[in-house]
Amino acid sequence: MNQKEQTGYFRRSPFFRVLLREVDRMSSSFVYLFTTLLGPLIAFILLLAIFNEGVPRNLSVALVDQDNSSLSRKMAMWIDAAPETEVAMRLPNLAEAYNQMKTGHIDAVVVIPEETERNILKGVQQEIPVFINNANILKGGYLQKGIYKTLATLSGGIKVQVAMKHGLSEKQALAKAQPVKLHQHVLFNPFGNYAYFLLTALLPLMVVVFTLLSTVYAVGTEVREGSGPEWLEHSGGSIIVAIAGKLTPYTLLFLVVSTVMNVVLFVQMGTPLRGEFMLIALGELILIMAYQMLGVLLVTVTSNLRLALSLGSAYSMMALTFSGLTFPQFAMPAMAKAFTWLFPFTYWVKLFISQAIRGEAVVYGIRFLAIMPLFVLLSVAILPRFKRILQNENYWGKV
Amino acid sequence: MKKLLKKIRTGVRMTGQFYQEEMKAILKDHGALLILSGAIIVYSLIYAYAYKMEVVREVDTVVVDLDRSSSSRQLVRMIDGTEEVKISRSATSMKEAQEIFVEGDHVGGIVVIPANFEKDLLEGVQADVAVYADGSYFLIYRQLIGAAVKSVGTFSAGVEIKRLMAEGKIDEQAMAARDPLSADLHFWFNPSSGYGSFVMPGLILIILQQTLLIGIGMIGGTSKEKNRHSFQVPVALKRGGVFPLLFGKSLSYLTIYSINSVFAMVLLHHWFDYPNRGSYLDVMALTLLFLLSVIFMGITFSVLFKKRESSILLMVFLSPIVLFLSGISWPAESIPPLLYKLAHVFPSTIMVPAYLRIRDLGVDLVHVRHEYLLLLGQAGFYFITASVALYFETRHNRRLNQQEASA
Repeated sequence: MNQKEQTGYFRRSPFFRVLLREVDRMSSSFVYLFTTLLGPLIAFILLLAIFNEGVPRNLSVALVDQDNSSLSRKMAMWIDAAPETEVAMRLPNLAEAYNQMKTGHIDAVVVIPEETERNILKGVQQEIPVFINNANILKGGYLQKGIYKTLATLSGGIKVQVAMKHGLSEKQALAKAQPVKLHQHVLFNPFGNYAYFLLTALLPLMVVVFTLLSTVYAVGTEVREGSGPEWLEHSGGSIIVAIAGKLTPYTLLFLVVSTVMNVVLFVQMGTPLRGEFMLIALGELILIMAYQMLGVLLVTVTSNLRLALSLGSAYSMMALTFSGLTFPQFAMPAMAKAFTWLFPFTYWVKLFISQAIRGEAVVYGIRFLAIMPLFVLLSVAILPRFKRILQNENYWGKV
Repeated sequence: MKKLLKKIRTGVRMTGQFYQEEMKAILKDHGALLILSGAIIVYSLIYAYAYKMEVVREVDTVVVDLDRSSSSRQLVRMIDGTEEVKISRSATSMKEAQEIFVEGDHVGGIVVIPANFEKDLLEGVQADVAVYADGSYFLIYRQLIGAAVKSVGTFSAGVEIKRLMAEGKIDEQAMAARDPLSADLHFWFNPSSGYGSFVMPGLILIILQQTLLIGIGMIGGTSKEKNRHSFQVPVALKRGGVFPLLFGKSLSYLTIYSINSVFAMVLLHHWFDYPNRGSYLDVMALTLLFLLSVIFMGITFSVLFKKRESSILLMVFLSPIVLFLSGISWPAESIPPLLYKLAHVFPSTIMVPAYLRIRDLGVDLVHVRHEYLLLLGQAGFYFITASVALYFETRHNRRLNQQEASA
C-alpha cells in the first residue's frame, strides 16, 4: 500500500475523519491544550510541591519552664530535637502562652512546674501539663504524638536508671519499666505519612476533573455552536462513530497524563506495587473512558454547556470526599454511604488500594474494575437522545 | 463645593445603575447563578452531611488470642471497651485473621496476643502484644492504634502497680515508681477531634472564594462575548468614571455573597454544631474585607477571560490546591516557603487562619490584626488592579464599537 492510498483510507474512514476534524479543532484554541496537558501537569507540580515534606515537622511549641533545672533544660532540648516539635519560644507563664496561641504563633504549650527535678529525685511523681490546640486535628495529632513520646522516653529512661541502680540488669529493668510492650505495625501504608497518602488520591482526582471538564467542553461546544450536523456528516451519520472519533484524541492524551502520574506515584514517590500493574493500567483507561462518557451524559441531560460544566466540576470534585479516603465510608450516614457508589472514582480508589497497596488477589481487584464500565454503558444508552439534540436547532446557541 | 457635591451625586446614581445592570446580568444567567448562589448551598450541605458523624467509632477489629488466659481475655475486653474499636471477630491464627481482613469489608486491623502472654507477665518478663492497623485509610489507622496504645498502657500500668504493691509499696509510691514523669494532656479546642468541625469552617471559605472567582469570570466572559457593556463606555472613560462601574459591580456580588455568608457561616454552623466561639461582629468585619478582596481580584482577572466557560475550565482544579495552601489541614509551616508566599495572591491564604482562630479559639480582632492588615492591603491592591483592568477593557470596547460603527 503506498502512502497516497493510506491517507486515502484515512480520509474515507468516518472514524478517522472525525478524529482529524477534532485534532484540527483542538489546535485552534489554548483551552484544549490547557485542559488536557498543561492543567494536569501544573496541578501535579503544585500538589507535589505542597506535600514535599511528607510529614509535618517542627511544629511550634512554647515552653513555660518554672523549674530551671538541668532536667528541665534536658526536657526542652529533647522536645526541640523531636522531629514533630520545635521549641519556638520560652515564656514566663501560661497566660502569656495562651495569648501567643491566640495570635497563631504556637500550637502547643509544655509547662514544667517548679520543683520538678527535686520531686523526681525524691521519687515523687511529677505531672507535666501539656496544652495542645486541636482545632486542626492533623497538627494536634502530630503534636500529641511528638510531646507524648518525648516525655515517655524521658520518663522511661529515669525509671530504667533507678532500677539499674538497684542492681537489675538492663533487660530486667526494661521489663520492669514496661511490663507489656505494644508492637505497632502499619498494614499497607508504607509511608506512615499523611502527605503521600493524600497524593495517591489527589493526583488521580486531578486526572478525573480534567477528563470530565475537557469532555464536557469539547462535546458541549458542538451543541452550542450548532456544528452537530456537520460533525455527524463526518461520521457518516453514526453517533457512535462520531463520539468515538471525537473522544479518542482526549483518551490518548489522558493516558499520557496518567502515565506521568504512574511514574510519579510508583517511581518517584515509591508507592508499592504489590498486585497486578496491568489491572491498575486497565483501571485507569476505564476510569478515563467512564468520565468521558459521563461528560457526554451531562451535556445530553442539560443540553447546556455551562450548566454541564458547573455540574461536572461539582461532581468531579466531590468524588474525593465520597471515595471514603479522607473520612471512611462506613462512618458516614446511610444516605451518604449510598451516594459514594455513584462515583467511578470510588471504585478506582478501591482498585488502587487493592492492587497497588495491599496486593490482594486479582479477583478482589476485578470486582471494582467490573463496575466502572456500567457508567459507560449508561451513557451509551442515552446517545440517541444526544443525537437528536445535535440535530435540533432549538438547542443551538444556548449557553 | 457645589461642583463636588454634584459629582458625588452623579457618581452614586451611576453606581446604582451599574449595580442594577450587573444584577440583571447575573439573574438572567442560569449557569452563573447556579455557581454564585446554588453551589454554596448544595456543596456545603452535602459535605456537612457526609462528615456529620464527626468521628470514626467502633472500627471492626479481629483478635488473635493465642494465649487464651484470663489476662489476655482481660486485655481484649479493655480494647473492645474503647469507643474507637469493636472486636468483631476472633481468629485462631494470624493466617485466618488475614483472610478475614481481606474478605471482610470494613475490618480495620488485627490485634495479636502471643502464647505465653500471661506466663511472661507472672515471671516479670516483658510481654508482647502486636497490633496491625490498616494504613490505607488514615482515620481508621489512627483510631485503632490510638485505642491499642491506650488499652495496653492502662493494662500495663495495672500489672505494674499490682507488682509494686506486692513489694509492699503503698499506692502513691507505686504510682511514682511506675511513671516518674507523666504527661498531663489537655486539648484546647475541638477536644473530640471531630472531622467536620475541623474541616468545614475553612472549606466553606474556600467554596465562597472559588465560586465567586468563577462566577465573576463567567459574567465577565459573557458580557465580552455579547459586547454588552457598550453603554458603559462614555461614562467609564470620563475622569474617575471607572469607579461607579467598579462599585456597582462589586456591590451586586457583595449583596449575593452576604446572603451566602449568612447561610454558610451562621445557619450551617448552627445546624451542624460547628465551633462558634468568636463574636459575630469580628467575624463580619473580617468576612467583609475577605469578600471585597475576592471580588476585586475576580474583577481583575475576569477581563482576561474571553469566553464565559474559560473561568470554570481554568479555575476549578485550583480549589483543592488553594485549600491545602491555606494551611487548613496541611500545616502552613510544612509548605515550601516560596510557594506559601506565592499563595498569598489568594485572599483565602490570609483569611483562613485568622477566621479559624476567631471561630474555633474565640479570639478578638486584636489577635488577628496582622492578618487583618494584610487582607486590607490585599483588598487595596486588587481595588487598584480592578480599576485599571476595567479602564482598559472599556477603552478596548470603545475601539470595538468604533470599528463596528465605521464598518
